[in-house]
Amino acid sequence: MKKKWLAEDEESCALQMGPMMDCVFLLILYFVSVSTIDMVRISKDVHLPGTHQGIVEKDESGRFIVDIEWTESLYEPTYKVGVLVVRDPLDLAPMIEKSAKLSKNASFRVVLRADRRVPYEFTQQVMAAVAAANVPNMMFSTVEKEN
Amino acid sequence: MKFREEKDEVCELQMGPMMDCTFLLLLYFMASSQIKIEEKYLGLMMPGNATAAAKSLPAELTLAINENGQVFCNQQPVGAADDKLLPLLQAKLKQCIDLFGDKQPVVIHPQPKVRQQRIVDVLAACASAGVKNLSFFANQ
Repeated sequence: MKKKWLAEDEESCALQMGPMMDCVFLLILYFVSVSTIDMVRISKDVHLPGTHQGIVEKDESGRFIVDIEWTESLYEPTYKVGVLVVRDPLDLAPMIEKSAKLSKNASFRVVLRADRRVPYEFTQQVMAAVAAANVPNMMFSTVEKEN
Repeated sequence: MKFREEKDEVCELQMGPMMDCTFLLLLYFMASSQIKIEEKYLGLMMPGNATAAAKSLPAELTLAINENGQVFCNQQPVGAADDKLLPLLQAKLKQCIDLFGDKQPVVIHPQPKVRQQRIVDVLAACASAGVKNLSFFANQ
């Protein structure tokens, strides 16, 4: 009895490009859809205080953001507006006043992003500048507190 | 004269360069994407912008924070230094809000060395109690 061994078809080991392209395009679509262009307006070195009571603002227009970074070893703050470093917090008053006039937004407000370790004596100086600029509304920026 | 037969050109989509472009785009978006932490806000009113004082305004509540982080409401202790949620303060504020509504003025008076986190804890307690008329003590 002769057994006929059928010659096995040679399997082609070529890379299948079709499914690979499908996966790659799916990944691209995901990253394109989740990414947004965000201008660098805030400092990433500020560790915000945590709380459960903060309110999420949907309308981010009409805001003047002041960052206060903190260096514990030197016991000194760094005041920033965007990437601009402000030496004297009193210099913020004319900047805030000008921004308020240019904004023409009735809900113009100052957002203070102070590091959680900043002592009140330094925060107070920024608040004094805000009061000198005659801006009544001010907000402290926080993050969701981890349990 | 012999005319060479034009060879039929095969029109196929070149996958190699297409994959290169696709991978480059993918790498760009992967490298540029960052996880954004959502920020929340606690609002307050600045001193010096008060409207004409209404005669019917109740007496203001002064929340003092000493350098140890202890919280006092009109000189009565309402929160220890390690008390983050300040339930006693919240209860007292709610009581005043229930009596006088949104008009109840609350003034926060921290000592100079009090850290921002402690101030936010007190602000959060005020927000939880429903305080609307909130401001900071203005040093002269």
